[in-house]
Amino acid sequence: MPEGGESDTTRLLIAWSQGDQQALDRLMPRVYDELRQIALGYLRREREDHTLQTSALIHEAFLRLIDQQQVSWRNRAHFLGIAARMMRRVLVDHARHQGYVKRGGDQVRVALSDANAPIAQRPPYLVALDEALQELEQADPQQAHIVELRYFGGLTLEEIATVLDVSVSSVTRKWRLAKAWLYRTLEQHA
Amino acid sequence: MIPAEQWQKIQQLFDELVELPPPARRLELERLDGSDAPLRAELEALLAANELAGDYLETPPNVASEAPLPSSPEPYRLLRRIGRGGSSTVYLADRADDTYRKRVAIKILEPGRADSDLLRRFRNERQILASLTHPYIAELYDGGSTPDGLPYFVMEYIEGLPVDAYCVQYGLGVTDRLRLFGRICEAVQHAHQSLVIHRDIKPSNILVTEDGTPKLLDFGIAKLLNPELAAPDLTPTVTWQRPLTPHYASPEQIQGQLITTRSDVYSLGVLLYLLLAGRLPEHRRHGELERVLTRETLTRETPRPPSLEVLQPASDPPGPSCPLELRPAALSRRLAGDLDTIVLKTLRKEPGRRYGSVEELGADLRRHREGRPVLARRDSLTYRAAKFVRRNRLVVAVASLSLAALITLSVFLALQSERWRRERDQARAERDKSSQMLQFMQGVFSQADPFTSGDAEPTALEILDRSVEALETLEEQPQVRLHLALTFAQIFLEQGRLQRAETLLREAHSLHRDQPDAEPALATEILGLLGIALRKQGKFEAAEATQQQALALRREVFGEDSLEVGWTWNDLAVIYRHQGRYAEAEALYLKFLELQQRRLGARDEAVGTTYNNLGTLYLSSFRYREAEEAYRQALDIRRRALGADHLYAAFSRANLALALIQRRRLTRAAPHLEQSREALQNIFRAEHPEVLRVDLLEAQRLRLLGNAAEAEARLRTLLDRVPASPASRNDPRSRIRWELAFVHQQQGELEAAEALVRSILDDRRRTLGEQHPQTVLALDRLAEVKLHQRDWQQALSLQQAALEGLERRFGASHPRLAVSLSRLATAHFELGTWDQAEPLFRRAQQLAAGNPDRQPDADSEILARHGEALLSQQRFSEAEPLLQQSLEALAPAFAGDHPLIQSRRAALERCRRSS
Repeated sequence: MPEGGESDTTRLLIAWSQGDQQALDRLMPRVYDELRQIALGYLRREREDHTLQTSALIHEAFLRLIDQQQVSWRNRAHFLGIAARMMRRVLVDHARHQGYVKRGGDQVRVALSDANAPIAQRPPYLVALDEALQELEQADPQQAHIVELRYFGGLTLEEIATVLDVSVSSVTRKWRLAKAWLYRTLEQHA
Repeated sequence: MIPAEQWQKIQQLFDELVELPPPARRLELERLDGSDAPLRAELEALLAANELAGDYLETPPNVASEAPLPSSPEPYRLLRRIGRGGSSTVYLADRADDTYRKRVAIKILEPGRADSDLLRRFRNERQILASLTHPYIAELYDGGSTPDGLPYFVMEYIEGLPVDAYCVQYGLGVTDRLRLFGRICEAVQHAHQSLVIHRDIKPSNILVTEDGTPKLLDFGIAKLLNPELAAPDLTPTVTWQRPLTPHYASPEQIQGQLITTRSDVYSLGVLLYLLLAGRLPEHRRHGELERVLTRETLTRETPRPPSLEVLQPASDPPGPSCPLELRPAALSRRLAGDLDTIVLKTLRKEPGRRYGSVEELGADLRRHREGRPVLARRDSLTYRAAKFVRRNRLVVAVASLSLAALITLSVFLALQSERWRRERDQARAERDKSSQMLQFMQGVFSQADPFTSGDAEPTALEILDRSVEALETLEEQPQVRLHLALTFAQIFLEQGRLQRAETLLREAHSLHRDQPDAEPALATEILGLLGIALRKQGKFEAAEATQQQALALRREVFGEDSLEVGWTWNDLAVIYRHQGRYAEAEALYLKFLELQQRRLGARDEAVGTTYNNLGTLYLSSFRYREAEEAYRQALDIRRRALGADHLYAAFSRANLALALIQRRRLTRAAPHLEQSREALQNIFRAEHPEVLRVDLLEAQRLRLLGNAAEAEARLRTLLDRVPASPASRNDPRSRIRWELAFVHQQQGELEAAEALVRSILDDRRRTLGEQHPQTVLALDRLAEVKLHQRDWQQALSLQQAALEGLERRFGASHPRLAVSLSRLATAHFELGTWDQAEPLFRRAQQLAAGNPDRQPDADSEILARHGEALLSQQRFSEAEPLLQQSLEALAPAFAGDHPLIQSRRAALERCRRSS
């Protein structure tokens, strides 16, 4: 476990939830490191039949970093919020490190047969997704954040509404457009 | 980079539009199109993506799926993972040794999966791919085992989109979708011929590359049939073994029953349904196998025809959008009939009732594209006849009709006529009439039967003539006689046997008058056709009177605001145009246009027809810019409504090319000519007037580009191709000779040019009369040739006569007069009457300058004539700017080495040297 104990991380989370921005700055590296530890554990494994979704990893990180007794569901939502962002970074860094082809290079996607994965369910290239999200951030930061929470964090739309403190319908609308835009940008080639 | 405020606007509009049903959505989008076309395009793309996105990004990424790449099999280098399926993974790779740079896809069996069954299936796929070589099937290059001992094979790497996404992405219309689907059929057909059943045909297994080439992939569960066992169609195969999405699987596949090539026919049918209706058939839409299975076995329902499906509200799970170029109602009309029938035949539950092979399916689609009867409907004789009539309504060459075709044409044209069907109130009476007509035709036929009459097989024309004679025998059945007379009259009209058409129509008219209970609508039909027959004979006044009569009657029968009334305006406008009454014709067309747009919507096919007619009117009155615009509208509407290679679209495209050539947009005209030529030659024989017209335009274009020799060669070939016909108003040879005269003139062969122009002038005087604009234009041409011959006296008097005619027709200030005025001025000048010449030169320039349609070569000629006259008088300082301008006027239209530019430049240099 990185520097600071469980209770320390918990304290930071609560402080940040109450509006302490400095707490966030100290919280983030911890979450990143923890997620990276857990994720790399999986990424290093040789192919096995079961795989783990990032939402499970985040949950695992939450269990390991935070004292469950002390935090409310609201704190948990906030944790999931930054964890999703950190998850994005962990995965994208890893993908970059692996030298996956970048967007703008050879980006044409081949839909090779996968009976169980029609085009809309195949995972995007993470590096390309990351770059597209940076672009979306310029237009509407909250919208990019929603994608992060939904995709990397596996949060429900309701949970996202809680994290961002906006209405569920607003999240739903923004998610719908973001999804269409990303699909067009990443999967269709103008 | 998207600006934030733009993005906000997109978000807001997207939210509104996405909630609307598709028709309303399209309307809203069209409204946007006027104000902000890029925004509209962006929204359209996003809405389409929204339909396709489905569960995209809904599942968090799987960390283990980013696992390192396995060791590369020599000499390849794995680049990245591009797909996973079943028990293997596909990688993008290239060759590590530099022999060739081609990228490839390598499919590698996953470790720990090498149990005997999976291994067998993996090898099976490789073997199957090796046996298939087809441009639309992914090619197998190589195979072996990786250093880790995993079996792999190397395939063609395909950059493309799944076929459904491709259709949406590239906005393919019905025709293009059918063409693409036809290619997919070819690939599957090839597999079948190689005794392979694919068994997993679905969009994600068919990638389409950017240039529109489909590639069939994934033979992972395909079955290689043993040719020794039995005919491929009957060979049973084992049931499928791997879970597949059930949407595209045939019922027998789902139920684990015997699978034949017809199973692929079914899957292709589901795909075709998706491509045409934009959605899967309803019973295929819902996820799980069990439900499909239950529905398949327990219910006997057949899927909703695509033409009705597209009218359903889009509340169901989205599929790729249906062809967007049509509104739902128009799309539905396009799909109704052949396409419905073809799709439903592929989706029959019983394999035996589907198409026997993919080849049959492909052939039927081809027949549909060519407007020939499709086999799926072969049971219905009336259908075939209706098809025949539709296909042939523009084909003039009746002489080539087969006997049987003529009979069906004759009888069923009468039975199938839309208008009559609409008006008939008693189906029973109609059936009686039909069977009487059939009896009648059988009577004519038995007469014509060579075994009965002993003659050689009579020609279609003889049969038709005999039928007309036999009409007399129908005295007891005036209704039948009337309908047949009308039918035969239409055939005569199409054949150009106008006098006979007129006679029959007059007869039909009096038959109609004598029947107390005759439908008044029928009388308007007869009068309208009679009007056309008269107009085609050049009897304009009688034609007008007849159409006015039809108009009055239609107002009464159909109502003041009816389209029937509008069509009569159209027919009247055609007469006016032929008479040179351009303003009256224009007013009628514009009125009709307004009516149609109001009643049918702006995009209806019929609106395209009116735009096209309007374009022709503008062309006749030298308003080329407006003509171009009208033809563009016509082309756009027809392309959307009928498909890009439809005959009518091809007509409008050829017309557009003509307008562009008249405006001397010679380069821009070229692709339009080429495309219309291609579409027309698929429909007509090479000597058909429409094909000829396009070839003639190309010759004209070449001549204007300065290539007189090539133009002449083409025109001579055309003359050989066109059979000599009695001199008529539309004799194609006359139009070829008209163009040939220009070529001769350009080559300096002035006697040959004169002979041609004189004979054309004589023809026109005889058939059209002295006053007709076409005659006047021939006179004007003759004056021009005489001027080139330096026969100033003759040129002067001819030009004066022609100008009089032009003025009478177009008014004294029409821009078309300008170039003729300048020629008259030259004649005056050369004859020494400078005081007459100079004001004419000035007036010519004024008229030309006031013309919104710039005519580069005419403008240039006018300036050059004046300039050269001044030059001969040694008035260098006045001549030079005119000659300079005459050179500049050519620049937008002609290349620097064009003979015209060279001669203008020479004149300018002469002037500069002399001064």
